[in-house]
Amino acid sequence: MTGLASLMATLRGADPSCNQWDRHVLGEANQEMFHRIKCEDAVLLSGVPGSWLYVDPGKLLTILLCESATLQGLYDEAWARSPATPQAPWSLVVAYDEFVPGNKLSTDQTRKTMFVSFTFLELGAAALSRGTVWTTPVSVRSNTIAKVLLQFKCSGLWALHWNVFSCTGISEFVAFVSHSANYALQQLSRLIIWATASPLEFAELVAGTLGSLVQG
Amino acid sequence: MLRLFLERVLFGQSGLSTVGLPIKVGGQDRLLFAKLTNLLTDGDGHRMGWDWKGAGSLKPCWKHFNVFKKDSGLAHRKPGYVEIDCTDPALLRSWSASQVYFAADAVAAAAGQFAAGTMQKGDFEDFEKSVGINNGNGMLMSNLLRCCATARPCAISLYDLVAFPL
Repeated sequence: MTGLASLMATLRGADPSCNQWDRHVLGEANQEMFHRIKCEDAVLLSGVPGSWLYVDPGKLLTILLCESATLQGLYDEAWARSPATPQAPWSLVVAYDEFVPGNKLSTDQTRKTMFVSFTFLELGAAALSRGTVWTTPVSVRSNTIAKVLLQFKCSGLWALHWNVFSCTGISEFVAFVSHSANYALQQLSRLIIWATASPLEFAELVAGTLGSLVQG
Repeated sequence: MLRLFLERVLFGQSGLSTVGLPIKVGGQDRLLFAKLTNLLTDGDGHRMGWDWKGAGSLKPCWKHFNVFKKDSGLAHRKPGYVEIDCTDPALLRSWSASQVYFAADAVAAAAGQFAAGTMQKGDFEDFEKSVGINNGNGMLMSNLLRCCATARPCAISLYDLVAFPL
């Protein structure tokens, strides 16, 4: 709360012509900005189709770069050192964790919040220690996350097949399709074996033998 | 939700791994391309993001498949397995990307069998427990993220020092 009061005092001082800055005005400004750059994903909330609204990460970074000369300078320096190209892309770092806002001595778990931030390694170690370079497009209550089930669900076998297909040339696809039915049957029969094996044998089968089959 | 976020960042309308994000750098319009190299969070974050069963499970280390829970009574039965209090990094064996994805696919296939009534609930839960991965729709099941050459789940997952077992 002290931080918010300090921020509002700064805003009042920086813009003496407008003395209407308070939590309400600040909140409205945030809402207006949010609706300008929000994005939406379909999710199931406790089994009910719903949508998850959050800030589009790309648009947020673009706006921050336009509005912060300091951030712009850091990106300029990093780009001069190492331009980001498809051949030499920058390294994306994504950080996420939960925190409980409010009184540390009497936490309210229903307010527990997950945030997701990202930045790029190329900005340099010194820059990464500054909050300015961390873009935070997601902040969502943990109890909302607990309700979410993704609206789409694909089977594991389909995912595996799609993975193989996506890495396979068109000419190889015909052979892959004729092979896939047998492959699926083999895999399912192995599952039945695993289901009767000990936990140790499961671990070895999955992590070792079968892993090498996939690599092969 | 993290999966949706990463898919949007990397492969969305202005995906960093596909068309690039238009930004202004040095007064000029540029396209920023990037690949996912690091996921920073604590053990609970990795548990949620990867559908891993977590530090309290039979497989308490996300990075190494041969690490069992302390006092689980399994590691001594075969060479090459250790418990979570092992202090020799040379004994730890990392999951490769294909091994993790294969394990996740196997769990999903087992879930399909369980749903179809061809696998018992107890067997399915034992299977999940022994693999250390839950059936879910997290990042492991994202075909887009799997296609990303750098998406090696265990390699890009970084813990803070306090949360990392070794």
